[in-house]
Parts: sequence; structure tokens; C-alpha cells
Amino acid sequence: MKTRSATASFEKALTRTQSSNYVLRLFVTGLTPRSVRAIANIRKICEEHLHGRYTLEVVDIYQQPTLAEGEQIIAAPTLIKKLPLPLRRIIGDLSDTDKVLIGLDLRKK
Amino acid sequence: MTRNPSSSQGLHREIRELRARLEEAEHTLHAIRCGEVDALIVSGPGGQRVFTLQHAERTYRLLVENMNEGAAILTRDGGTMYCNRSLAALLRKPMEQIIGNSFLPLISLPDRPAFDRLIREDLATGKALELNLAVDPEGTVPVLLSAISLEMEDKITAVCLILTDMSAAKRQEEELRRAQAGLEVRVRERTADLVKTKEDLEAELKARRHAERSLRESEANLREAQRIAKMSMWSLDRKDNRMQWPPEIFELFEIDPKRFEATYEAFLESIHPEDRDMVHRAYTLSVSQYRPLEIEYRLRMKDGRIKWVKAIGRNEFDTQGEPVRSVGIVQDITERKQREEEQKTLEEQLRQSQKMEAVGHLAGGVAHDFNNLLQVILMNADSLQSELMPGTLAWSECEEISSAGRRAADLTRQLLAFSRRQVIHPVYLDLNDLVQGVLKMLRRLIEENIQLCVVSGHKTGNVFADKGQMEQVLLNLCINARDAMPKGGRITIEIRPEILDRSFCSLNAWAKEGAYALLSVADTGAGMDASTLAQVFEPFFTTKGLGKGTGLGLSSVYGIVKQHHGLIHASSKPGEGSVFQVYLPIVEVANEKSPNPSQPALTGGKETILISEDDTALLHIQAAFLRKAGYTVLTAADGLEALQIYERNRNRIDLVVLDVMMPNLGGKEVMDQIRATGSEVPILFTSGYSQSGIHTDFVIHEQLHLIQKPYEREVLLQKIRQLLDRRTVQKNQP
Repeated sequence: MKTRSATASFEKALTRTQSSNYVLRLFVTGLTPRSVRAIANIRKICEEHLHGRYTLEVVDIYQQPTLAEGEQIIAAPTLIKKLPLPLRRIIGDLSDTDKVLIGLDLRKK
Repeated sequence: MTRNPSSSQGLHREIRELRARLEEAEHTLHAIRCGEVDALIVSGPGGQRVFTLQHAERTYRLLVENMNEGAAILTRDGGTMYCNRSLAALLRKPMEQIIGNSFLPLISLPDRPAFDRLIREDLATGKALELNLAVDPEGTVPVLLSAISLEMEDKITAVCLILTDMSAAKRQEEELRRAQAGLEVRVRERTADLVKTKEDLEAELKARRHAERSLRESEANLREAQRIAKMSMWSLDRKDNRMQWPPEIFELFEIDPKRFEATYEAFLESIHPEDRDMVHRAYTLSVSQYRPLEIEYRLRMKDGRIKWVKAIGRNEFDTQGEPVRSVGIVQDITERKQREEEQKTLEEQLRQSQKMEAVGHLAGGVAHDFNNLLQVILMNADSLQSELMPGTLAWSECEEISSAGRRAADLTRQLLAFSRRQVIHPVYLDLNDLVQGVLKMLRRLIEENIQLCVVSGHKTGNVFADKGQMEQVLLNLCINARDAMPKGGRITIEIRPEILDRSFCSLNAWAKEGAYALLSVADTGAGMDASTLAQVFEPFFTTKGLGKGTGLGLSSVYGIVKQHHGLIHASSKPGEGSVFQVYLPIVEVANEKSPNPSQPALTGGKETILISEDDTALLHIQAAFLRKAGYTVLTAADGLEALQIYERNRNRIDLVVLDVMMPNLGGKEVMDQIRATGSEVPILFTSGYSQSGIHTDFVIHEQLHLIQKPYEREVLLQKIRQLLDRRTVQKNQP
């Protein structure tokens, strides 16, 4: 009964993780090559691993500098996983998919 | 991050969080070192500043270098810091000649002030200007120039220019303008076409209106012509048997349209009964023989008046040859018909008068010769008888010869009366007096079973007529009336004044306008039919039995009346008696009794007489007779000889006897020659007849003396003595 209860909790937690909505925000600087590549990579990863349960916002720091304030952004491109918690920042053009998946808690180290 | 240092679990979590952030920071630093970022964002007291890494501009450079528009960055004082390849191509200059130099010389001269003002203005929101670039050699390129200020590092403000080549647009604009101009020309042309079309239409409309007006006028003219010609159109629809009549036909036929059935039968009904069959036959024939209709027929009005109409028409047939419609005109020809009737009557009268003239001419000619013969017979018989003892056989035979001669003379006198060649001796007469004078003799002539009524007493005024011949007229008419009533009846003689005016004359072709004394003799006898009436005045025409009439009675009446310039008219119908009306013109002369000289004694004389006569036998017997009476007689065979003898013996000639008709020189001409010499010698004319009115007239008008052949010897002696004695009286007067 207890075992069964623990298993059920795990399953439930897993389902919750898999089914929870991701809110992602990608900060770029115009049309620099890495910015362009970062947009392409995160779109690909999201479609493959978070299909139907993610919201992605791309913010050009040149055009909307205020959105970067408070986010402690120090480089671009930077992807911020705002939900689910904990908040995570991933720097670069997101071409290392494993690193991105770990950062998004979609894969264990 | 929740920090709860008192809890080991919380401490572990904090360590995990810090490790993660450290890891993040390490990743970030690694990424920066490895060049995996394009920009660094540094937050400071003045806000964030973005530092873009060198290679990161490459995309923008590519974008700017490859775009079609020209791009340049200028300093505020117009120095060129940057220009892209497209601008260098537009200016047809190498880039190195542009960058580092003033941009102003690249603007066309006229546009430079505007450009200079532009780049010095506040360009925070950007402005645009159309101007021309100066292009080698000496060309220009139209461009749209957009300028915006650009904040550079170290607070340096620059001006960013974007230049769009407008050549193609200008060309298109020009083409558009040309196309528009072409379009305007075409619009103008089309408008002109439309105006022309409108004018044409207006002209056509005007022409049509004119034509319509002309049509209306000609229709009115046609109506007027129809009205003048008394002409109207009719039609008959054969399929439903309907007559179409305009109001004018109803007026002509004097039919109420409301009471007219408008069928063919009703039309026939409106025609004079005697003409219906003829009209129906003519119409039927015109249809069956495909011929036009032309017919004249009568209409009888309700009050009995007769109208004549003429119908002309044609028939329309369908493809099978069946009649579908008849159409035509009908015209009132009453007046024409009346004129034709009058014309016919006049022609008939003319023909009649010509015939009578011819007969009269013949009769007169015979009578003239016959008179000369009778004169010889009578004078010789008288001469012979005077030599004989009365009561002897020879004396009696002479008396028989004289008596027969006188009867023959009477007959020729009647012929001459008819032929109007009798010499008349007109006097002023009142016909009332004339009738009263003859009444006694008339009563003797008329049988007891005939009543004689005289309606007289109307003052008629005088007529100028030969009394004896007028008596003859009255006697002849009364005898004729008597003979028309063998079983008795009534003769009415009436004398009254009568004025024949123009309207009467227009209805009575025989009449002539004027004031007349009318002598009318009416009987209640058997009357005459039209053909008898037409011949009643012809000589030798008689209805009396053989030996009872000469056929000259009414003829001589006719001749006498005509010779007196009068009118005679007979009217009669079988069973209704006859009326003869004699109209004699009234003359405005006082009622003056003609002198009636006392008969001088039958004596001869001793004077010298010149006698001229172309009939030799007559000349000799006259000369012998006058010599016997004591006169000296000179004889001439014609007028010329008479004149010559008179010239030679004018002092001893006391009287001249001249035949009116002689060869070479007539009696009147001889007289004129004698009178031309100033001689007033008395002249006595003798005549068998007067050939024409001229001879009669000169004798009457010039108060001359004339005796009619054949004359009694006593008449000649009396006339000669009378003239000689009057001359003596005139000579003795102071």
C-alpha cells in the first residue's frame, strides 16, 4: 500500500513535470548571426520536446531595452526559463541541444 | 529564493541554488570567452548599455551594402563619413572620391540651398526631400532623399541619408503625364465628336420637325382641297362589312351618324332608289373584274332635293385574290351636274334657234323671190282688170287671179314674219289697249263652248312694237288655244308687268334680265308632251289635221316676238293645258299716240319720179303704172345707174323710189350719196324683205318710208302722194 503510494506520487510528479507549461524568453541583439541561430535552435528544441506546452518570447534588446532590465542579462543571446521554477539562464546560440535540455530540466545530468 | 539557515534542508537547497548560479556564471563567462555571444549588456547608473561585438555588424553591413537605395552618413556640417555601393553607382563615382568629402557638390546646383537647410534642421523624426543629384558628365538623377539624425558615440550627432532613385518613377510619371495628355486629347476629340453628333442630331431633329410641320401643312392643305372640292374619303372593310365615313360624308348624305348602321346595305339604302341597282352592279363589277370604281349617282334628301355625287375607289385583295377592303373618295358634283344640265338646255336651245334660223333663211329667201313674182302677177292682174268691164267673165277671172295672189302674199308674209325678215312699223303701245281692241274679233273667232277670260288692267308701261303684228301674235295664240280645246274649255289672257332678275334667268335659260310687259295666253286643253313642246315653234310643224293648219301660226309668233327683241316661252304638260308667255321689253317713253295720218285720196300727179329696181319685169310694170297715174318716170336697173340718173336730172326729180336690195349699190347707199349732195328729195323704199336687222333698223331709226312688197297699187300711189304733198307743205312753210 505504501509502496504503491510512493510509486503513484512519483508518477504523478513526473506527469506534472512533463505536462507543466514552459514560459521561455530569449534575449537577442538585432540580427547578429548568433541571435539568428539561437532563435532557430530554441524553436527546433521546443517543437521537439515541448510541443503544445510552451510560450516563447524573443526580445531584441536594441528595440526593447527596458524588458532586459531586472532580468540580470549580461550577454546576448540568453534564454531564460521563467517557468517552471527554478529560473534558469542559458547563454549562447543554443546549438548544444543536450546542454539546453539539461538547462530546461528536460534531461538529467 | 527562500533562505532558511536554521534548516539543513533549506541549507542544502540554497547550496544547490548557488551552485546552479555559479554554474550559470561559469557558462556565461565561458560563452563570452569563447565568443559565443554577440553583445554584452552592462547595467549602470545611466541605464543599460549594449556593447555589440565586432563581427556582429556583418549582417547589417551586408544589408546596407546590398540594398538598392543609396545610403550615406554625414556629419552635421555635410562631410561624408560613409556611403554604400548603390549610392556610388547612382553618382557614377568611386566610393573613395565620395567618403571624406563634402556631400553638397553631389547635389545639383539649384537644389543645394534646400539640401543645406535640410541637414541643419532637427531631424529626430526624419524628413524627406525630392531633389536632383549632379552626375558626371553634366547630368542629373532625380532622387527622393530621406534624412534622419543619428546619435553616435561620444554624443556625436550625424545625419543618416537614404536616397531612392526616382528616374524610373519619373519616367513612369512622364509616361503617365503623356498618357494623360493623350487621354485628354482623346477626351477632347471624343467630346468634339459628341458635340458634332449632338449638333447632327439637333439638325436631324430640326429637319424632322420641319418635315412634320410640312406634313401637317400638306395634310391641312389636303383637307382644305377636299373641302373646296367637296371631296371626302370612305372605306369599306369587306370582312366585317363596315363602312368608314368621316363627318363630311354624313353631312353630304344628310344622314345622322347615330342612325346609320355603317354597312354596305345601309349605304345602298342611302342612294336614290332609281340608282341603287346601278351602283350595286358597278361596285360588284369593279370587285369581280379587279377594276377601279368610278360612278356618278344621285341622292334623294328628306325634303326631296336631289344631290349628285361621284364616287371613285379601288379594291384591295389578299394573296388568294379575295377582296378585303375598298377605299376611295366621294365628291359632291351637284353644282357641276346642274351646270351641265343648263349647258345642255342652252345647247339644245342654240341648236333649236340655229335650226329655226336656217329654216327661216330658206323660207325668207323663197318668199322674197316669190313676192317679186306675186307683185308682177298682182299688178298685171289689176291693170288688166281696170281695162275690163266689171261683171264680165274676163273681169271675174282677173279678180280670181288677184284674190289668189293676195292669199299667196299673206302666206309669204307669215313666212317672212317667222324668218323675222318682215318690215315692221313699231309704235309705242300699251298691251292692255291692244287686247281690248282685238277682243271683239276674238269673241267672234272663238266657239261658244270656250270661255274667254281677260285679266288686264295692270299698268305695264309701253312697249315699242308693230301694232298689226302684235295683234297677229294674240290672234295666233288664241286660235291655237281654241284648236287645242275642241270640246270646250277656258282661254285666259293676262297682261301684267314682270321683272326677270338674275336668279330667275339663272334657272330659266330662255330668259334675259329686264323689265317686261307679259302677255300670257293659257288654255285648259289637252296639253303637250315634252317632244311636242320642243318642236312647237318650228315652221310647218302642226298637230292639227291635214289641211287644218299651215304649221306657220306659232312660227310666225316666234319670229315676230324675236324681231321685237322679246322672249317667248311655252310650258305644257299632257292633260294640264298649255301656257304661252310673251315678254316684250318695256320702254321708258310717254304714252304717245302714234300719228295716224288721214288717208289721202287715191290720186296720181304730174311730178317726176325716179324709180330703181333690179327686177326688170317689176321695174317695167311699176313704171307703166305710175306713168298711167300721170307721173313722169325715170327708171334705173340698179343703184349705181339710179345715182347717175339722179345726178343728171336732180333739178326736175321730185321723188325717188329705191329698192333696198340692189346689185352694185344698195338703196341705203344711194340715199346716202343723194343726201351727201345736200338734196332733201323725198325717198321711198320698197323691199321684198329685210335681209337683216340693219336694213330694218336704218329704215326705222332714220324715220324713212318703206312699203313692203308685194303691195297694192293703191298703197304705192297713196304713199307717193303723201310724200310729195308733205314736201309741198314743208316748202311753203317759212
